[in-house]
Amino acid sequence: MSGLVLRGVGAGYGGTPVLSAIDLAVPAGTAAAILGVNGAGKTTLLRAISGLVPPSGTITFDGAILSGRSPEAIARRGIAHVPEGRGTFSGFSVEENLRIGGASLARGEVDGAMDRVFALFPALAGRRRQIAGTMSGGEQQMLAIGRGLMLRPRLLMLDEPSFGLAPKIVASLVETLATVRAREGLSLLLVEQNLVALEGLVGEVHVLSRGRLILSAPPQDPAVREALRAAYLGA
Amino acid sequence: MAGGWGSVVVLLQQVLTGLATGAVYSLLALALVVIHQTTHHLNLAQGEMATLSTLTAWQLLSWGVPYWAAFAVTLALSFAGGAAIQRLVMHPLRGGNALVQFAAMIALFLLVNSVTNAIWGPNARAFPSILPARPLFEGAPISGQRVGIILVGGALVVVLYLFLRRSRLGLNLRATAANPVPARLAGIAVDRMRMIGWGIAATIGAAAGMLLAPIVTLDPQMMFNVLPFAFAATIVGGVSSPLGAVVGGLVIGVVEALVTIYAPALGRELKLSLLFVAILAILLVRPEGLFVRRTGARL
Repeated sequence: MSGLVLRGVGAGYGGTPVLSAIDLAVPAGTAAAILGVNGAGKTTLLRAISGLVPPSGTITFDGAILSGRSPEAIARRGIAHVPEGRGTFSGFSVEENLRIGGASLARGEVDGAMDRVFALFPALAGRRRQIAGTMSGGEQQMLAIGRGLMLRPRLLMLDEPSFGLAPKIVASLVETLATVRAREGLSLLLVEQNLVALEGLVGEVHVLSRGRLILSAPPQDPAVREALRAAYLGA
Repeated sequence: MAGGWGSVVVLLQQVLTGLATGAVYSLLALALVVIHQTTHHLNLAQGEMATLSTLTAWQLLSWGVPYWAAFAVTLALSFAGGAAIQRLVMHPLRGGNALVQFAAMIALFLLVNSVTNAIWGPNARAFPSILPARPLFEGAPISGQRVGIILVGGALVVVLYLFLRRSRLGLNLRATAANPVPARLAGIAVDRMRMIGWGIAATIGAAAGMLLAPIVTLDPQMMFNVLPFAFAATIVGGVSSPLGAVVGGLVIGVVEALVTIYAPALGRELKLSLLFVAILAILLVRPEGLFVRRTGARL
């Protein structure tokens, strides 16, 4: 099966399990979200996929086994992970941030990939020389997505992209992600706490609670809200 | 001194002498900054590694290898040695706490020092300089030796600066240092970057040692009196600023030379104490160094 497939995946830190028995799939070209309260294991799930924490079980991407590979090898296979807090290289210029994102490309491909990012985010094009740390939160989020796209990924994973952004900015971010997905033909996997922002963007949501997947359903399904409410109330 | 021309020449002489010593401090400080930037270690063994490299070069020269060939081979061997130390000693300790890594640095310092002592013994040896030791021209205020140090040292600093600022590998090295997790997620092989960082630092240290050896005594303790000044240079400049390390090294070299001639009463011991009083003052007022902007942005 093409796309991302997790079978019986678990992960943890120093012997303390955080996730267990996760089965989920993100078929090629689709968009999905992982929802859940703080501490449910959402970030750990992304970190297991990108190899930052070693997973148990099997993770495959377009048929190739990812589990056991290093994060840099997984990135080179076409999975871009924009981590919690965006991972901006704040002392570096916008252009340097994008060039870092393109580290896995052949030398001759970097400028072309950068032009594509600037076409998607014209606001960044005029700020090539600006130090990334001096930009607003919304601009830094665009830069982080642009950095991820520099990998020419087939799957883009974003950890709480709406964090710290005003609702209006979140709305335009969702619009941008929809455009990116259509134009680049990639899959999206987002981690969020807030369903409202994502409803029009993703086709499926996976609700995590205490390290387990408790529901996979379309975002409109009333069971999703029910599961989230139960999770927040600690049921 | 009746003032006038004579005292201007003395001043000029001391400034130039100081710049030459300062160039060596700058190079060693730069080596410390490169390692700190790629691995967040402060490499206590940097001076000993440079001494080992210099004695290796001396050995090659004594076997009849021509100067520049010995210089180049020593740089290459030092790169490999630095990378190997990172891989075999520091890499396995990466998850350990800061105290363990600090202890490993001290062990490395003692180990390299005892290796040089075991192979070459405590005797002093003569090391040739790039340019002859006599004054550059009749009545010149500086010896050819020191001109060579300034020229070669300056060229190395420029090459290194351009490498770190303009090349793709340099960008990946800096990215690894600044933010290793997102660097890995971008596909950068951070473990290899750290090895390369140590390799580069060992290479710079080797160059510093070979430049310095002709004007001091080449023996296993050669760097004992030099490394404190290089540490001082990194603290003046800020341990994350290559430009700061270079300027810091030059300033300390010049101040040291001026103090020697204008305040001879201080003597060597007091001079060192005053240096460290100044460092403590800088750490109290601007712990991030004089060349790092408060925002954390790097010059």
